[in-house]
Formats: sequence, structure tokens, C-alpha cells
Amino acid sequence: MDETRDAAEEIPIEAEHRRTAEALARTAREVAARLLPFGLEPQDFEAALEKLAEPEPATGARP
Amino acid sequence: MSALLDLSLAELAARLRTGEVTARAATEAALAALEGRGRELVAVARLWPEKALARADALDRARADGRLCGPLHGVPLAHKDMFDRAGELSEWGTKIHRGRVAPRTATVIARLDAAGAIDLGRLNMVEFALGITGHNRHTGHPRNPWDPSRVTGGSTSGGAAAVAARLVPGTLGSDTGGSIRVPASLCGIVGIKPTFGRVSRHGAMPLSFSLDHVGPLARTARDCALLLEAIAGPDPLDRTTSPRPAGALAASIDAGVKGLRIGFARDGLEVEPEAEIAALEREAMAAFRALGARVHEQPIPALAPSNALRRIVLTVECAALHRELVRTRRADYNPETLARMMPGFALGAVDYLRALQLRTPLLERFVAEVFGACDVLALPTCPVRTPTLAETETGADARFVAISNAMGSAIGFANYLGLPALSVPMGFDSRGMPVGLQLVGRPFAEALLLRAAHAFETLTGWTSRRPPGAA
Repeated sequence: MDETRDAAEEIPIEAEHRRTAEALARTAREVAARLLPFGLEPQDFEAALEKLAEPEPATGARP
Repeated sequence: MSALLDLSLAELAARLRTGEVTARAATEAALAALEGRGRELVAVARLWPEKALARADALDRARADGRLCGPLHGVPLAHKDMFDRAGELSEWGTKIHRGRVAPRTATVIARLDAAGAIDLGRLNMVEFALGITGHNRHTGHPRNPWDPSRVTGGSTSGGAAAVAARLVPGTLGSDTGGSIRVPASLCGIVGIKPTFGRVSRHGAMPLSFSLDHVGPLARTARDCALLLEAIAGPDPLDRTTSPRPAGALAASIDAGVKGLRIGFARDGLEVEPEAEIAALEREAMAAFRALGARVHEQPIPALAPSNALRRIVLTVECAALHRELVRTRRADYNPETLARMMPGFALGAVDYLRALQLRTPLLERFVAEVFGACDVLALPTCPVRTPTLAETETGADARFVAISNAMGSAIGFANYLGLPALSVPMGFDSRGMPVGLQLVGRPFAEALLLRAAHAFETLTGWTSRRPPGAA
């Protein structure tokens, strides 16, 4: 099912907002081409935050 | 206005602990101030005087019996109208949810209760917390205590105004793209957005679950530290919280900044700071040098891509949350809210997933490039001076969106990357309006940021200035 097309059909979107969305999407494509050369790999953002912190005792896994 | 409200939160809490001040006296003073000046500033959504005074009396009795409930015993607070308290109204700044009764109590509210704070009621906010100027046609636009013709910043608009005007000593806000730091900057107070995962969002209105953060605003860094200590830490009701304990933030706040590496950003900003703001930042860096910090210009990755990717995540998650309401009640939204939200309905799933997937590599790159060379990154919280309400009443057109994006151009990256960031006053512009300095750290470096802000405000004294009409 194409959720985006479904939403667009139900909710009118002005041209300026479509242009904004296109510009944002273009940025995402450009940055992804540089940083995600192998495509959409699984990422664990919260684990990255923990890993990049100054050392501090953690009490266990995320609840 | 009562002299009690001129005390910082830390000072008031200390006097409440010794019994020099009663919880009833502090609560009555804050309620009267909110009912008076707070209404003038359009800061107040609703107050709960009977319940607050009953709680104050109970806390005074407990103290008389030798029992202190916690570090905030008897401290009166009021919060943004998006933190649920079971059985009480929680309307999220919108007429769409007028009459909404909260089904649960937010974890942060429960933790403040446990720390002994008194909850006076709820404060106005931008509709659904989606907006950075502070506008809200449903509740009225909150007014900046330093100049009521100017915006407060948003979305924690009423909270920032109330703390700056010395009506309450502290408040909770949310920050999805600057909603704590920008109003803190524009109203001349301190506000901290902690690391993603540091503070539970359970029971707080969701706007964008990947970007939402909860944190305190108060007059000083020490006050923020006390509030953040009370609310931070793991929460089984919010699976995104970190297992890290809150830690003792206030205990290390006097350690100073001698030898600390502070890097200030020049290149990489999406919007060049106005000349007066750039000048204040230079003075701030001189102050840090005088405090013994090692200050240098710090190259940073360009913020524009992170800002764009944050907007993708924000608008898509927001569109997902609001789809049914926009479909059925579009005319009931503030036009400013819709102007910010609508691009999310036109973005696709692949773009959204790309924006989410890019967070981790961009975070790793940012931390390596920036925090490999400095301990704290400094940059203006808001690169433009505080506009008037009239200047931003543009009918939610493209100009309004452009002003909003400029105001938020130096802060959204910290939401996207999950990094802790605070705003501390760094002076006043030629119009007499406060200007904030943003300090950003590596993940979970809140104690370091608060320490740096405390040293800075102690030297400069900016946080002790009072707006007209304050206590």
C-alpha cells in the first residue's frame, strides 16, 4: 500500500509545501549518497549515543 | 511582587528546607504572581490553587514533623500545557483538545512530585509545540517580559515568560527543534535540552518521537541542574531512556572551566549571526578565556544538511500523528502550525527512512570532528535578534516559515544528533533584549555544560538582571 499517495489524496497539499518537501528530500538523497554508499543499513542511534559518551557507569540495558 | 520570587530556585529550596520560608508562603506568592503578571503576559493556561495550597500545607506539616520529601520540598512550579497529570486538563495549546482530561501522569511530573515540588498548574505553549516564535491564536500570543511587543520564542513560550518575569523559579519544557533553548535565549534565562534518552517522555505530548526531548528552564544553571537531577534517569515506561542514572549534576557545578577546551563555531552555520549577536559571542569567549578556558575557533560540519534532515523526520512524524485531525479538523489548526507541518504529508517513506538512517553516521562524524578537538562547542542560540509580534504576524506565509527557520537554524542539529545543549544569557542587544549563548557537548555531558554555564553566569552576572516589573 502506498501510504504517501493515500495521504496526499485525502489531504490537499499546497504547491509551496510540495516544493519544500522536494527540496528536503533532495538534501537527504545527496547526503545519503555520500554517507550511506551501501544503502539503508540497520542503525542503532541510541547505542551510538551511549558509545560516544564520556565514560560513565551504566547500570544495565535500556529498560 | 513577593521578594520570595526574587530568590533563585536553589535559594528558595534551601530556605524551604530550613523552615525559614513555608511552602504555603511560596505557593501563595507564586499563585498571585501568575494570576496577575502571568495573565498580563498571556503565560497562564490554568492554575490549580486549591490543590496546590493543600499540598503546600501537607508539605509544611511534614517538615514540622521532621520529614523532608526531597530536594525540591515545597518549591512551587508550573509547566507547559503538555505534561499530563491524571485527571487534570492537558490541552496541548490547541482548541482541538479543549477539555482533554489527562489519562495518566507524566513520569517527569511524578518525579517532581517525589522530589517535593508543588504543581501550580499549566502554562501556555505553541499549539502542539510546533513553532519557534511563540505564536498561538487559540490561547493568545505570550508576551516577552523584556518587551511585551516582542515574541517569547517557542514552543515553551508561557514557561519562559513566567520564569523570566520571576513568577515561578522553574518550569519544564520540551525541545524538538529548539523549543527550550530559543525561548530561554529570547527571555534571558537558562534552558537545557538533555541528551536523547536522558529524560523520559512518558506522559508528555508527542510531536516527533525521534526528536522530542524534555528538559528544564530556570533562571540559573544551578537551578536547571537541580530540576534535571530530579527528572532524569531510566524509565520503564519510556523504552528510549538510557540506563544511565541521573547523576549529581549540581554537586560538580562549582568546579569551574580552567583548562576546558571551548570551541566556537564560525563556518558551518546555516545563517550568519547578526553583527550584535556575533559581538556578544566574542565577548562571551573573552569571558571564558578570563575564566581559564582554552578557547579556539572550532570547525564544524555544515549544519544545513542536519537541519534539513531534522525537518524531514519532524514533519513526517508529525504528519503521521496528526493525519486524522488534519483530515477532519484542518480549519481548527493555527495556520502557523499547518505551515510548519504540511511538507510532511508530501514526503515519502524512503526519504524519511534515509533521514533516520543518516543520524548515526552524522552523529559519529560530528562527535569525532568536533569533540575530538574541544570539550564544549559554543555558538549563538539564535542568530537573529528577537522580532516583534507584529513582524511575525505574516499570516503563516513563506516569510513566516523563513523567519522560523532562521531562528532555529543553529539549534535543530542537536535534536537530530541527540546531543545535549543549553542556552545561557550572554548579554543584551541594543534594544535591551537578552541574547543566548548555546553550549553543546558530547552525549551525556550535561554536567559539563551546566558547569560551564554556571562559571560564565557567575562571572558575567547576566542571569541576575530583572525584566521590567519583576520582583
